Amino acid sequence: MAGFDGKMLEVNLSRGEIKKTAIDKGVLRKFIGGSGLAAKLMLDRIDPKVDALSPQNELYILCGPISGTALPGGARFSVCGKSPLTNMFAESCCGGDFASKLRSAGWDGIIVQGASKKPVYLYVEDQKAEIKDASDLWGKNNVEVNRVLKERHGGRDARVLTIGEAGENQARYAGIANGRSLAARCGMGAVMGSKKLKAVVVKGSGKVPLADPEKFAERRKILIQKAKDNIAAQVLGMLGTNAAVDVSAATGDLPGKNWSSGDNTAIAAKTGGPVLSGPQFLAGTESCFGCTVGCKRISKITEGPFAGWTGPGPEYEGVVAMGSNLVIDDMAAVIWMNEMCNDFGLDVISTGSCIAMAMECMEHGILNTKDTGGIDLKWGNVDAVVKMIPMIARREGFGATLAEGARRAAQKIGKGASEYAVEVKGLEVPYHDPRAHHGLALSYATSARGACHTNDPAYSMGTGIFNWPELDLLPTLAAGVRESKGWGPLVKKSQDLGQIINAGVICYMFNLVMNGEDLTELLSSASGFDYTFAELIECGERIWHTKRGVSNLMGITAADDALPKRLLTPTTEGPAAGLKIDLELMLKEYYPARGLSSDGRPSKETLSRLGLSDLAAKLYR
Amino acid sequence: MKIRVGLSYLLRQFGGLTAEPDTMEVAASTPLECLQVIVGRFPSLRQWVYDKEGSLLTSTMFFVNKEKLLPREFASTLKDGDELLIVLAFAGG
Repeated sequence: MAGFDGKMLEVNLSRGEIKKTAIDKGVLRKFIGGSGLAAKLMLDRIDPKVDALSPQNELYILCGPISGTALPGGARFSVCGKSPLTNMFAESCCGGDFASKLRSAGWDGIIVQGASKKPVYLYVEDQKAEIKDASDLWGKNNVEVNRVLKERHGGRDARVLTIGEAGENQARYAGIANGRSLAARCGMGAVMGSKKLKAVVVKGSGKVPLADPEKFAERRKILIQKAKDNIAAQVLGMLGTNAAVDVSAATGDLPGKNWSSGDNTAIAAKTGGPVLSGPQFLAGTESCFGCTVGCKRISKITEGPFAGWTGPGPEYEGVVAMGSNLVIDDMAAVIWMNEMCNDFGLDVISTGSCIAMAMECMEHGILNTKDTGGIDLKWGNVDAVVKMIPMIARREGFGATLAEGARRAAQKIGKGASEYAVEVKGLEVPYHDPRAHHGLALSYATSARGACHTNDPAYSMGTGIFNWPELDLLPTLAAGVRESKGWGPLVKKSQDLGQIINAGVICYMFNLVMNGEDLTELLSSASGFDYTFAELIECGERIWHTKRGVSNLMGITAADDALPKRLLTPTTEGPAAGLKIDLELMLKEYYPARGLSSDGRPSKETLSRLGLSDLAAKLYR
Repeated sequence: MKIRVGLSYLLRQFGGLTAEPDTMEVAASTPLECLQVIVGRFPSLRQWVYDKEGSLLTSTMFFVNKEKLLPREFASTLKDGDELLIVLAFAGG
């Protein structure tokens, strides 16, 4: 088999050692790759009690069978480990161009152990790898480090992962940049920073291996045509992910003012897709490696205090994080603040959420300007946000509190601040409002990494843009996206599918055009395993339970499958006004369908059926 | 029967209707009929709401008086004075 072989580069930064590791074929078949494989590696290799920011945690930079291929949506890789934000299993996915070079260098992933005493970066050129001094790069941010390392190592041929100051200072929601893309969620940049690993540079001269290149090319051709014919994919190409702002405002999906406002149409009109992709702000578009859709925006700012800048434009999440959630309707400022987060290496979702929480605390008198070092964190204050972002990345003053994430920061602030922390299991909630889509509420409460809308596609199937007839979900969907009843079995099935996509590692947006046959053909021809769709679904189920079991070992219980009070409180205005989520009902329907016992652990029967006796032995000893 | 119909910004943008008023009055009795009337008036909208065979795209959504309709309700009878919003579904980020 010459497909996805599980060839890992294993780097121990404490000892300065590099070695090659091969993953067992049986493990690869069962866990596919990406975050699925990471769950298995975490189960086998990490003591669940380790501090996420200690040398004993491991960082997994993993590809899947599809990673780095020329399939549109196939540019992605996963970064996984124990999260310093949630203290449980974590995965963060990234597009860009890194995966293609890593695989053409002959590697399917990198495992980073230990911690260096001084700043270093890892240089990989085909089968050679070397740990190099990064003292001159420490203290610099993503754009600059990326530029320097590309110049030093051959320009466009070098593909680079970096952390900014946020990662160096171990802000708990620091991400890892691949050029203009970020593996943002769950604080994997902080883990990289704790290891004093500033960057990874890869050069590869080979081809990305495929077990059956002809079959893969045939399916790729079909999917490219499907993407051309698909309306939502066309919208994505024309307006980027930010096209969703317009629709979200109309359906009650768009949050505002730290999730307290239900009607955000006025801000949507000034920050939506047509504005970002209009002549005032659009400088161009670009794609991840191999993608024919081209959803990425290149933005320009020509007027005002940020005039003169051109660079990567924000995605939907960045626009809402810095826009309606902070009551800011200045598109130029939103673009600039999103860029600041990316350059410092902060997850823009978490950054927006933490600042919004502080703004609401300020509004209610829980915080004042003495607490914030003179910064007036009132709603809509662009200047305050522009000052606060570097302070978070550098852990300076009040920024050190917000760098802890919304949950810890609220606990530190006290005086009832936790009421304004909108997070699940410590991970700040992405900006789609589950009060307008109750299936999403259950997804948030039970996702494998804390609140996440891309860990399973139930939400997007409910909105009608994804369509997986093989899962037989439509009868349940007919019950209505604004009701809580009936979602338990649907979210379970959807989660199983989501685990396959993320193990693949395939762009979430490519769900727009895929069906079960496509997914099976792609993964089989890329990996060399003769999967059926039924086997893949079983893999998805196995992966979900492994992630959950690892998190159980790290302390997660049924009590953590919860939503913040803010999301359980209906809005009083807007398209979703008055809709109340019945999470108790949904969990009651979900647990038996999911195969969880009442304490939130995978049941012994479930683990036995999925061949997870090793996990059972650890969970039930 | 007169129904007040709005199109989401994406539909107005893609259909080249941004210069048109935000809402328009349509004489029809169901959401599907309203859509047919509007597409008849503005043929540039057709490709964004129907597939090549003329079937409704799954991404076409209807809201009546701000309530989202289920697919089985797309042919239900509207009342005089109802407000219909037609949306091109999209989720991102």
